[in-house]
Amino acid sequence: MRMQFSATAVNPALVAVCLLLWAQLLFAQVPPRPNPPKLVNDLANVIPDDRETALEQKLVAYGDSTSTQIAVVTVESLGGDAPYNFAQEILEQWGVGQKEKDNGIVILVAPTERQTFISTGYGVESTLTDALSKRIIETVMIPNFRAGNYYEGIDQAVTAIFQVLSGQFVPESETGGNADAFVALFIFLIIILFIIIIVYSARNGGSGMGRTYSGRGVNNSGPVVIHWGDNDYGSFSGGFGSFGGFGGGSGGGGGAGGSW
Amino acid sequence: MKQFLQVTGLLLVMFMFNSCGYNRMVALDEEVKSAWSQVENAYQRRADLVPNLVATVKGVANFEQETLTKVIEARSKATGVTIDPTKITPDAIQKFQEAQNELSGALSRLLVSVEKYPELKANQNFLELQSQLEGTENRISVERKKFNETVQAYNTYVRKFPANIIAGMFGFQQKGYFEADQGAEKAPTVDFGK
Repeated sequence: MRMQFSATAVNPALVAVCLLLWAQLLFAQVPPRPNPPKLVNDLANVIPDDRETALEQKLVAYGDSTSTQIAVVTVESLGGDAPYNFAQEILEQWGVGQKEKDNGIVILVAPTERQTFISTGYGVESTLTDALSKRIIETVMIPNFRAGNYYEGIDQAVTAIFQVLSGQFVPESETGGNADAFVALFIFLIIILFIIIIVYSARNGGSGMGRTYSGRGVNNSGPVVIHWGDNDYGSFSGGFGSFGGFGGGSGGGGGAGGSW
Repeated sequence: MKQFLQVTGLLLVMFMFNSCGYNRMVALDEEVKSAWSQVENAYQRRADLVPNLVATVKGVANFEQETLTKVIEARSKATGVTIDPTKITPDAIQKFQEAQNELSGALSRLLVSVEKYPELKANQNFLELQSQLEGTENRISVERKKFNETVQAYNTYVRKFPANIIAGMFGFQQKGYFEADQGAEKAPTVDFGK
């Protein structure tokens, strides 16, 4: 029997890497996930309170109709971290966006460091490309931020993002490859389904098919379970216009930043 | 009786696998593989940007040929080094990283020399490419971080007793990390100010 992993206790390189990882963890001190969950987190207090409510409602309504979650976060300090990393950590740790769609966006503003970053989840980075994020930052956010109008800058950026995501700005890199792959997958699934049905009906006689279908029917029409708490899938939490919770989305560092 | 023994034996083996974490190892191994594919995607994305970048820069009158050639060479070298996802050894990662770092270096030199060409800095196409490149460097760094985290979980698990016995039996080797790039050389250049 090989016991190859027991004796390599002190490997200097490994220790160094662990230290680095640890340092990185310390570095990324992103604010904890808000509880109760909300989309506008004005931790640096640069947005007037009534505007904050309006923005929150705008974002919640958008999230309810499209399932895309846009979180606005202003912070007092990045703690020396790079804006892209900070924003991505928030996206990941809070779980902005739906889990299967990864359609979360974080708009980070750090007024003290005069830095901003739009971080996109895996699911939206093909529509809201880095170049488009950059354009939004440079044309809408930075001019407003320079004048000290944080709310206006953020609000207009949010509107621009809505427009991008609804397709009014057409992204430059669309390929047909995805569609082809989708069709292939679809055909494949149908074939598999067929085989399953044939096997079932061969086994159980005629009733097999009926059973398969009734089984699925129950699943589909079953009551929608609404989870309460942090890992909600964008469900309503009762009151009008309140945010139901982050969905557990994830992102790979897409987006763009700027400073003013 | 014989059958009873067989069934018990089978159950015992299954129990042992579970308690010694064979299944967990498989799951962690898969996580590392999927994290790796994301790392490769991010690097591939950068490699895909290079031809466009080169073409755009070339369009500018007498841009330094040597810088461009170096970028193209480094790119082909970098895309030539791939890792078999079932063999993510420290060695393999290091080779991969070296090849990619060469491309990073060549790209940063290219972007520095761009400073000398104001017409390029006003070129809309080039500016878009710049922000794409910047985003790609961010992605690389994020995916590397995620990869390192999954490898850390895997390595920690595989080295612990009694999982290390099962790991040794079934050849779950330790996997390699990405090491931090030397100095502050990490995606430096791509923040071309304004």
